[in-house]
Amino acid sequence: MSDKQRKLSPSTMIFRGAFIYNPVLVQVIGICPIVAATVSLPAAAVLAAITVLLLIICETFASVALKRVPAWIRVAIYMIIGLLIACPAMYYMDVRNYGVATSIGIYLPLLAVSSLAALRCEKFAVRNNPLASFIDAFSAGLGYSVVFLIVGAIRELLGNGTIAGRVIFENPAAPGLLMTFGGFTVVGLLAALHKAIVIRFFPRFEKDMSFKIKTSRAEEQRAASVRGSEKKPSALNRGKITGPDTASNENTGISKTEALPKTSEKVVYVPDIPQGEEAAEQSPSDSEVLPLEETALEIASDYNEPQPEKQQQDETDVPARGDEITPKAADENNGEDNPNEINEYADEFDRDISELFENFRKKHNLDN
Amino acid sequence: MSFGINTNNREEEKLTRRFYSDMLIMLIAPVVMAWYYYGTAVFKTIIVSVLTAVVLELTASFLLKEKGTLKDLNAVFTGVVIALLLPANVSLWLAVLGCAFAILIAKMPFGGTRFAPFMPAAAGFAFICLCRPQAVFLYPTVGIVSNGEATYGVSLASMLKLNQSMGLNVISFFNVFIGNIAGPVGATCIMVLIGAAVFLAIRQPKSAINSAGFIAGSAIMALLFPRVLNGILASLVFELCSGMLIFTALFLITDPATSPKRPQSRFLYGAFAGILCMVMRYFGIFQESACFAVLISSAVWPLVTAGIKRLVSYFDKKSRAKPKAGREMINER
Repeated sequence: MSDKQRKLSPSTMIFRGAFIYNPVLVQVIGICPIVAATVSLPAAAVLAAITVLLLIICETFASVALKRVPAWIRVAIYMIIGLLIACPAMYYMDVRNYGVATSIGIYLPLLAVSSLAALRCEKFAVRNNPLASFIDAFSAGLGYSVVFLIVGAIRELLGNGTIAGRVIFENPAAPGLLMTFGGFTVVGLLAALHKAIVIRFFPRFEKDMSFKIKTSRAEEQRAASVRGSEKKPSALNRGKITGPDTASNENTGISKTEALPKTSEKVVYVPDIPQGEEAAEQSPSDSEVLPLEETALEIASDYNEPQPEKQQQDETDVPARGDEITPKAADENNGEDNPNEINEYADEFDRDISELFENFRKKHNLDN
Repeated sequence: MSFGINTNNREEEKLTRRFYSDMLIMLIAPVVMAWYYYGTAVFKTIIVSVLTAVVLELTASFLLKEKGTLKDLNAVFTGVVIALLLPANVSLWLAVLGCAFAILIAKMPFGGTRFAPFMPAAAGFAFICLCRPQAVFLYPTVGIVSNGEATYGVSLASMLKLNQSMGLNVISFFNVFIGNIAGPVGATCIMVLIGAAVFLAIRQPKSAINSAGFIAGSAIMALLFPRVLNGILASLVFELCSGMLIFTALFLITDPATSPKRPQSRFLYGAFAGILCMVMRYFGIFQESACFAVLISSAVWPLVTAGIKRLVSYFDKKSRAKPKAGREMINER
């Protein structure tokens, strides 16, 4: 129990756990039921209620009784607790013959092995006192269920024309949203909106909203070389990296908040999301490499091996093109209106469109 | 995919704009033929569709604080393509829905035309297909459509889907060639589409490679696995001329943002999409799945190339006797 954690009031914990580090929108945990089963508001409400119950019981129990139990036994115990909650709920709904049960289907029993509960228990509950664990479970469950309800309401309204069974539209707008891809779409748009709101109104959490990116060495070198040309952006440059408001990205909107490094040829995205600030602060020994990061590093090293060859190719490419206008050259000429430039454009009129995307494809490594 | 890459500059803007203006020039001929066959109802759909796309793009670019996204003409192109893929007497809100999905979900959240991971027009049309398959695939017979009332015909693709055997003598090939059959308003007239293909080959030769690959892949599948009993020639003609296959080859698979760079990669990408399209015709639930084939191939193509690379490097390493000649040497440089 560190001093830092004691300073956090319960309301702060709830605010951070439910909104800033939302389990679904930021950490993307347990989205299986949300994309597949939340086709209506009642279904979402049932799933959310059972999840919150499961979270609270699991975390409190783990905090009270499981601190000295080995980890491999703990995970099994979480599953048993989940089954003890999910099975009676499923049985009850079957007996009462609720219409919700059909749309929820397999996803209610699947909540028994909810990754959210196991993760919160392992990350937080077994290292904290029961009260803190209870508050953490409540906050995570609150964030989870609010997203559930929003997604369920949007999908039911647009896909079915109703809200909780009441008919709003006779002719539903987009029945496609009831399919699984509709769930992914709605969750993705909500996540983008959440990120924009957090960065706009709570800028001190901004760094936690982005992904940590591990770039290869060649890429960093290129980024360093390109950095010179970035210093004078054109009016059309959409990144606006060196605008007057570089200090905070407050006015940057959604697309720019996702702006990752400009030149990323082979990028490995490693989600670096703190699982509750408290947990990270309390146990500094947590900084060991997580399995996910480990695999990501492996992938990164795997990809890095052929890198020098690629770089050499690039170097030979650039002089081969000779006098053609490369994108970088156009960037440098952006400031002034060069009449020669316009003539060159006219000469290049028959040039193929694919030249345009050459750099883009190269960066993403989409070609053989 | 395409997140956070700031390769925006004036030249790319110009080239994108040139590409889509070429595409719009190519679309004039199908629009005229659609007007000739179905009357002014087609114009109504096109105007509503284009207006929706433009207004939504303006709104989205205002909200996202991005300027000049309309300049590349992609919004207009998306509106026209979605309108031309629909039946003549379709209700207007389907076109509105398709354009809204294309602009608001498939394009603008990712940062615009050159950053969209999926072709916006294909995504919008696929969304309408999933929402209202009955309305999208119910085609009226050729004739002036007024007030949405029409007698419904049978399109070539639906006949193929139902395994109805056809001969070249039963359905006049001339009618197929000039588009005098039921089908999507802009995609039936093979004659003008061939003209547009010639224009594409002259103006955008690398994009034409995509189209050639798409048609080649579809043709190989049609020759190998015919669905009609009158021989492989009839199978080839009907498979290629039915549905929206050639229209897709010209306007959807050529999207620069989602297609590879090198010519051979482009051809393979197109052929992959064409084969996928034919497989989905054989086993899918819809009579025409070209837009789904385009979306799926743009999604999985990076994986395919990564797999090919792995295979090539694996065999490369295996075939070499000296270990020094392999990757170590490259690393030493």
